[in-house]
Amino acid sequence: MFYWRKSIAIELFDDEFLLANLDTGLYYTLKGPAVAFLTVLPFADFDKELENFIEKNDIAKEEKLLLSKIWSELLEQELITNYPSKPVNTYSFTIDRLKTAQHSNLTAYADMKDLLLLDPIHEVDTEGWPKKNETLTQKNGN
Amino acid sequence: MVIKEYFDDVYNTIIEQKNYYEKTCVAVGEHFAAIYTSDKELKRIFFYSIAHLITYNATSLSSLTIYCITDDILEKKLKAPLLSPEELSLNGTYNNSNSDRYYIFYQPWLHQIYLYDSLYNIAIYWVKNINDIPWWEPTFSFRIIFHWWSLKTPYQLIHSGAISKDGKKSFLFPAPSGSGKSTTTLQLWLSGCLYLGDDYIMIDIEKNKVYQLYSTAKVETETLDKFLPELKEKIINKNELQEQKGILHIENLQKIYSLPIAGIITPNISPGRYGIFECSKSTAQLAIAPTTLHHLPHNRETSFSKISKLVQTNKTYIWNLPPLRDSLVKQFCQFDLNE
Repeated sequence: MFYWRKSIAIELFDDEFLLANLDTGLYYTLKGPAVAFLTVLPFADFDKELENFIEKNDIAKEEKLLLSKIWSELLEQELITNYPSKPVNTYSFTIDRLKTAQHSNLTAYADMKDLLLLDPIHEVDTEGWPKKNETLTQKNGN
Repeated sequence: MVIKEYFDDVYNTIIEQKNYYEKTCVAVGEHFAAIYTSDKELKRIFFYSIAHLITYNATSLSSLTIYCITDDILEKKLKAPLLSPEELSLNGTYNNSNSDRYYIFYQPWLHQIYLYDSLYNIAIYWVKNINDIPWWEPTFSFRIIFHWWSLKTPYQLIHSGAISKDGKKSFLFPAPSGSGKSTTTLQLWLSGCLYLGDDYIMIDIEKNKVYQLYSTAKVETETLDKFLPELKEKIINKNELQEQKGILHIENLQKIYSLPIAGIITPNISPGRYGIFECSKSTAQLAIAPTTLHHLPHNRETSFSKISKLVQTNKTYIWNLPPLRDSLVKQFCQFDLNE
């Protein structure tokens, strides 16, 4: 069964998904018919769901390729996971109409990723506090 | 390590000296926080950015109690929490899936700890020595504590500036650091707009209102030289600018403490057609959520959801900033009139 991973926060803004991986600090926007397609998650069989979606919405062949590519990217980025049983909590989204004027598009924003790579483990003194010479300086201060 | 045991140990140690602490009440949203400080210098340092929130006539019991303590006054010196690398995440939070009652914010390269018991709304800021206080900490005093407290309320701290032209409604200016947030906010303030915040503000997502929190602004020296030269003299840390951002104290804050939100304007310094234009809601969410959730790492799901509600509720704009202040102020005044 495919579904959004637990650590992924999702918001549907008009016709656009904003996805946030709360563990890594990576953000994504998803536009176009892929948004409508992914509102039907969770499902078990991607190929079958895609065929149904294409047929039902009269989607062009090139869009089908885009959807498959985006699907692979979502799995690779671990935004969607495949687990045998159905998740307890699932997102539920509805969109008013399918936007076909724009091709499906997944964009990643990695602004915060570098900030999450700090190493907190340093030499400590007898009371457990880090030694002075290990103190980092940080100009940003945010 | 069990975080409850550590909290209890620290709390019992500091509470023994409670009679020596000075109590001060500050307004936080529509609530009050009672803050106990263990010495006058510590109070001076941490109240610099929140002195305008001090109240001497709190009309209700405080919703939050904060102990702000150094080791100097304690008979028993505090020890660092024995957290393994697996328990402590890279951003200073504690991976504790068993309880959501206790919170800790501990970055081992700093000699300070924040602790919180969410059942009784009791928070502790402990620093080994006054000299160990990181320079940035008092520019947003108790930010992580206010965040923890707000998790069960409609409030949410967000990384954003906020300004009002007419004193009746406000606009938010969210943006990642270095994207023109402070420059925009401070230039508008210098032009006569009302200042509600530059770095962190508090939002009530149910009432769609913004509340003042801090009276300090942090600005890069290059930004001061280029856009805000008249503020250079007012920088309070002139001798530390090699290692620190310039810190400004916004004096004589107006007595407007909160205002309804009329829109979210994301400043943008990339070249383009100058002006304020409607933009997608995801643009606003991307301007607020990543930095806010990075600075305030606990319960990110809750914060993300609150920020989403804020964005869904309000009109969203992008402002391609003109290089000259006159144009910037004119554009904002015109925009404000039309809203």
